[in-house]
Amino acid sequence: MKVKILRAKIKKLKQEEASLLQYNLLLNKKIFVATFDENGDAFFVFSPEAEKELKQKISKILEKVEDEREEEYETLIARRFSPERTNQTKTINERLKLSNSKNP
Amino acid sequence: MKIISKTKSVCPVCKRVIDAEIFEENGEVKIRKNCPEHGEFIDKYWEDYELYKKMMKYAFDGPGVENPQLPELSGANCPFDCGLCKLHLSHPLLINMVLTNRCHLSCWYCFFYAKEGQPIYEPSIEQIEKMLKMLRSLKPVAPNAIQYTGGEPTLRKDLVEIIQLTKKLGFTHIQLNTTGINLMDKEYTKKLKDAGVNVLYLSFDGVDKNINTKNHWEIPYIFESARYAKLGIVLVPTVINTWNDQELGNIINFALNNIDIVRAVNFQPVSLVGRMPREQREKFRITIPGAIKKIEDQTNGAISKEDWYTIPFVGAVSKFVEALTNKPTFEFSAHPACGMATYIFLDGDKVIPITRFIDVEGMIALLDSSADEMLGKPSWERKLIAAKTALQVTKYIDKQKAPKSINFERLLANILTKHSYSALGAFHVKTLFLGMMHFMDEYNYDIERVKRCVIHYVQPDGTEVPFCTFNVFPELYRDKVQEAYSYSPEEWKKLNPGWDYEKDKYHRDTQKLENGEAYKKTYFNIKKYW
Repeated sequence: MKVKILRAKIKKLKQEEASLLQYNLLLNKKIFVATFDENGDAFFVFSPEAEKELKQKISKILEKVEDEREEEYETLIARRFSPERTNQTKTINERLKLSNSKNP
Repeated sequence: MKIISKTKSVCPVCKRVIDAEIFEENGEVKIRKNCPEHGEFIDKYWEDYELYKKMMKYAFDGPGVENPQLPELSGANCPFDCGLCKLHLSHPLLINMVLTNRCHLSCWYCFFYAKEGQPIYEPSIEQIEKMLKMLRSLKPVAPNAIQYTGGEPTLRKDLVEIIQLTKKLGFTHIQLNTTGINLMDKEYTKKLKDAGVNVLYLSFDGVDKNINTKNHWEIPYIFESARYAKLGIVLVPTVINTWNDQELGNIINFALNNIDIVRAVNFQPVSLVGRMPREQREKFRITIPGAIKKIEDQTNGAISKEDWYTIPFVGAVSKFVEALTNKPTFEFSAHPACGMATYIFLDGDKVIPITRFIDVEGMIALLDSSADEMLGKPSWERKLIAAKTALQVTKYIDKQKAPKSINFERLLANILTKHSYSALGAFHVKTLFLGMMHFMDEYNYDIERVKRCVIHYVQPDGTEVPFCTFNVFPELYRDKVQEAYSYSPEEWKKLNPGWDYEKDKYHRDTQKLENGEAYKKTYFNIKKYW
């Protein structure tokens, strides 16, 4: 199955508005990821059948589509199973210090 | 009234994320939030403010996950973009995997099972292997404990094969969340144990048959099977105020009567998931301190409020081990309000909580300061500090009051220097672990708690979701993903010729079970410890 991946800039929203919109978008079983952050960056993954509904719902807050592409859903899922995903975590020493500062 | 902290929660009606306050009122901790559309919601958060203050001192943040499955997401609207993302502050300690949504019971309150004609969710062995391998690749610490759940996992014909695969992939603790009904078959139970199951996680809401309608009659036969297979049991009562809150002392007493196989009782104050009017919530709501108080009353003080500590209380043990080995280790960084625990020991006829003979607070403080002392030191010096600490811990044990059957000095020295799973195993002889785990619902949902969750569900789409996100927002996670990976009843029948919905169902012969020797032995003339 092909899915669409959309990165966009949207207008800044109050968190409660953003979360409500996000919740309602995700209720659609064909929208797999819908997320907005505090910088107005938005990221969506959806099947082509949900495109019309998604775009309609975000049309009022959409500022600029930055990237739109198609990908196999299986490829996207396979990426989640790949161990090479990265993030930044604190070192042991940093965490120990943090822990100490919280428990003086 | 005093505001304790500010957090985010959700509106129970429209589910938008809203600001919330945790506050004290009349000695209790409560949560209040205001939805611009649906108004104010106030609910009980913890019944005891003094205990809350004391336990919050042990809060600490864990390492999170270095390689989360959704690294591109920020979690800006947590809990709606979960799976995990970089916002999460704990690594998983226990993974839940749903093996099937088929069940042999049809409990009226349960929404975890497929009713007749509904799609069937049952991940394939290949999907299970993928999920397990992904979990074992998590950094900095890969989980090694998993709970298989359902529906009823024992309905799967390939369960033994799944357990063997799980063991092969490096999971050292496998627990089976089951009604136990299929485990009345002793040989089947032994097969599961031999394959690698460590413990049965058994629903048990009370000793009284009018309360535990789910498996009261089967429990004696399940116990017999567990004895035969030498398999440990964790009893799991869901605690509902005004329903079974008078049974808590009896449940512990029952567990003590079967201490040869019952390793733990893990109480779960009810999570009131779904819309519920305020009066009804007030009637059923009980939180951890409320349940602990009832246990104190019902055991005549044999197990009191002072005997319980929050889960992150043991954070200093991990810190000590991590500082000693200079390697990441498991960290119990759950939010202090999510769980509490204690150990009780049976010494002849006497029940002794661990806190009555070990100064646990002193010991934890010692481990914490020893860990600090080790920082930046070379390996030989760290080992020296550890050995010195192992000698010092003995001064926190009151030998006169300790159970005579266990050598605590040696046991603690082994745990601190070998820090191994097998060292902990010895702790379980004539010992009962008592736990409390309170899962949240829409009304008391606290995002600061969910960000620190250590019990996660894994799904075949490669996502991993904290327990209270998975179950409080099933429409976004559990049900949505399971539906995408389900078979229609027609497809299922084609794949499983001869399968019929009704054939899955269990039919109880109450009279036959009540007449059995095991039933009489288990329920009649049992010893009273208080």
